[in-house]
Amino acid sequence: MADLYEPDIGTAYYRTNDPLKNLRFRVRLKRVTSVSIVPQAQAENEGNLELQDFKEDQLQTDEEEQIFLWQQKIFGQREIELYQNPENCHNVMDKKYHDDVKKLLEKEVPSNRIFSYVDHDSFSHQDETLNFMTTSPKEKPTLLAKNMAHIRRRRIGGRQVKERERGIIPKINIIEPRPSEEMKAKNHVEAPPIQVMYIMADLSPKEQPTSEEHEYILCMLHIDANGVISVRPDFNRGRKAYIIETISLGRERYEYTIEHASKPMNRLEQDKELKMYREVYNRHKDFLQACVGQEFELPPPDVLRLVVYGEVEMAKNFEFDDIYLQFFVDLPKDWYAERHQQLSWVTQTCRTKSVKQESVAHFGFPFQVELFYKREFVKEEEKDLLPHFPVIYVEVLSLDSWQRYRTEGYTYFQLPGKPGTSVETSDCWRPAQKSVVSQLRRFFIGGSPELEFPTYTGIPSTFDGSHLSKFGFRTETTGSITMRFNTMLQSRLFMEKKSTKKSLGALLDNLGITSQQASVTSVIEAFKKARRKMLHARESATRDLLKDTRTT
Amino acid sequence: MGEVHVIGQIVGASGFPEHSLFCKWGIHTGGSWKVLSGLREGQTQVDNPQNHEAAYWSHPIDIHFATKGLQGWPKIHFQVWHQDQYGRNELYGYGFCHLPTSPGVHEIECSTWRPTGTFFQQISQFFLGGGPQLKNPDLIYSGADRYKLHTIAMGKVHLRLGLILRNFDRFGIEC
Repeated sequence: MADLYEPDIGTAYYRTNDPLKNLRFRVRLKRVTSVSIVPQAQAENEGNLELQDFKEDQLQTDEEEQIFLWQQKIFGQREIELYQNPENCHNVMDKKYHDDVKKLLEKEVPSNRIFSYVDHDSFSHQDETLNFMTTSPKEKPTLLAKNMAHIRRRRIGGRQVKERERGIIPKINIIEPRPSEEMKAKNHVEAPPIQVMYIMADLSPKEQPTSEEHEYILCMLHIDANGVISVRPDFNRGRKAYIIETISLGRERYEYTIEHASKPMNRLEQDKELKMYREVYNRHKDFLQACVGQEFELPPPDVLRLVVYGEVEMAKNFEFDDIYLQFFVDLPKDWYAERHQQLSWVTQTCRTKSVKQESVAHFGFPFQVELFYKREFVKEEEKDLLPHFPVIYVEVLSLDSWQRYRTEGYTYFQLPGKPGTSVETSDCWRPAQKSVVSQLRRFFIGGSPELEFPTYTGIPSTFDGSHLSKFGFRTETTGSITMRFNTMLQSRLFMEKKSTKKSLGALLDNLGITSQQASVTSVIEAFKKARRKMLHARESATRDLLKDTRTT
Repeated sequence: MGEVHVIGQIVGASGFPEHSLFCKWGIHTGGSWKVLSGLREGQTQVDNPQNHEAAYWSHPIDIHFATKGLQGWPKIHFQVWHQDQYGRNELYGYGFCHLPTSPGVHEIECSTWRPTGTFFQQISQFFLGGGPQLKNPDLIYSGADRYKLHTIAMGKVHLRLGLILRNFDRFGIEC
C-alpha cells in the first residue's frame, strides 16, 4: 500500500476498570465510487432531479453503519449461508448459531457487509497462528511461534485468573521434577489471558457467492485480564477514514471509520463515583489512624532536633588483632541531649580477617544520637561564632590474649549536618614513641601512651587562640574506621516553611542569628555600593581626560 | 502519622568462607512503629553458587510502616547460616543495618560478624562445624553489653532497598 495517503494504523492501547459490557463502538463502511468522490454540491448543480435521486439512493445503499457491543456476534453473509444448513453444525456453538440464524431469517434476510467474529469463533484462533510478520511470501512461522499460538489458544477464557485467586503455593515439593506438557504450556507464558474480537467486512462482489477470501479485517480488538484494551487500528476520532482495497477484479475501494460509542457517564454518575472513591479512601485513612494514631512527636518550639542513626561498620589495617572501639559524642555550645541519651559507647572486640591483603574487622555496632540545638541569645562579642555540629571522638584499641590492651589509634567524625545517609571513612593515628624501649614494650607487653584529652584529636576543648598548632606532637598513622550515618533533622520551623523548602542554613538563622546576618549583609551591600560609586567616578574621570586630550 | 514503604531485596552475600548459604532476616522497630502490611521477617533459600564468589538470594522485602515518631527507626538484622553437605546448619554471621532515612534507592553493604569461642572450640569448628551462637539475638541490633563479646569478622550482606516516605515533611522532618 505505497499510497499517497497511508493513515497510521498502529495499535492503540486503552485501559479500563469498568465492566466490558458497557463498551460500544461504531463502525461505518462506505464504498468509494467515482460518484462519491465528486462533491455532492457539483452534482446538484449539473444534474437533473432524477439523477440526483438515483445517486442519493445509491449512496445510501453503499454506506453501512453498525454499532457493536463487546463480544456481540453479528453474522456475515457467508456465515448465514453456512449456519442455515443444520448439516454444517457440529458442536453446541454451531447449533446455537443455527438457531440464531433461523430467527434472523424469519424476520428478514440481512444484507449487512459488516460483521464480527467473537472470541470463540475459529477465525479468532486461526488468525493468531497465521500472523506473519513480514510481507515475504516465503515466510514460515518458526517453531516457537507455532507453539506459542497453540498455547495462547488454549489459555483463552481467563483460566489463569481463577488459578491465581486460589493462590495456593505448596510448602513442600515446590519443584516439579518432571514437568508435564500441560504444565509447561501453563507456566512458560506470562501473557495474561486475552479475549479477542474482530470486526470484519464482507466485500465480495454482489454477483458472486460469498467466500472467506473476500472477508477483510476492519478492526481487531484485544482485551486482557488486566483491563488493557488494544485496538488495531485506533479509533478514528475525526481523523481521515481508513481505506481497504479489495483484491477482486473490480479493485473496489472502501473507506471505513471506527468510533468509540460507549455511553459517556453523566454528571450525576461521575459525582457518585467520585464520592464513592472518596469515601473508600477516607475510610481507609480512618482505619489507618485508628491503628496508629494521628499525632506525631515534635520537638519543642525554636529547637532543631538532630537524630542520627549510626553504625560502626568496620576498622581496617590496624596493627594488632582483636580490635575494639570506644567513642563518645562531644556536644558543642548550644547543643543539649536528653538525660537518658547515651553518649558514649564501647563495641565488642572483633578479630580481623583479610580481604584483599587488608585486615578488616566488622563491628555492625548501632548507636543512636538524638540531640537538640537551641540558640541562646547572641552576645555582642560572640556574634561571629557560627554553630558547630557535634563531633564523635573515636579511640581504637586492641586486646591481646593476655587481656592487655594497646592504643591503636585516634580519630574523629563530624556528625553530618545534611539529612540523608552518608558513609564516612576516617584515618587514624596514634602517638609515636620515640624510644626503642617503649616500642619494644608495646610489642611485647602492651601498654602505650594515651592522650590525656581525647578531644585533642579534633579541636581540643581547652583550645583558646587564633591558630591551632599541633607541631611538636609526633604521631604514626595506623588504620581507618568506617561509619555510616543516617541523619534526620526536625524542627517546627520546617513545618511552617514546608512550602518554601527552607534549607538548614536559613533555619539556623531563624533560630537566633538573624540580626547578625542582617548586619553582615548590610555591610556587604554598603561595600558594593561604594565600589560601584568608585567605578563610576573612575569611568567619568577617564572620559573627561580623553576629551581633554582630544581637544588639545 | 508518617508512613514508610520499604521495597527491595536482599541481594546476596559475599566474603564468607564457604558457599551454600542462607539467611534469616527480620526488621526490628521501636514502639511507636506499626506494620500496616508486609512481612517483617523471613528466611531465604540456600544458595550454592556454581562459580561466583557471592551467593545470590534476591529475596524480596516489601513492607509498609506507619509511625508516630522518629524514635526506634527500623533496623534490619540478619543471621547468615551455612548448610553443609550433611544438611547441618551452622551460624556464619550476624549483621544489621538501619533502614536509610532518605527516600530513594539505596545499595547497602552490611558487614557481619560471629562470636568466637575458645581455642578448642575454634579447632572443633574448623573440622566439625558448629560454633557458639548468641543467646539473646537482641544483641545483633543493640549496642548495650557488646563489650562482653569477642567476635570475628565475616562476610557482607548486600541489600538494595527503595524507600518511600510519606507525611514526614508535614512534621518538619528533613530526611
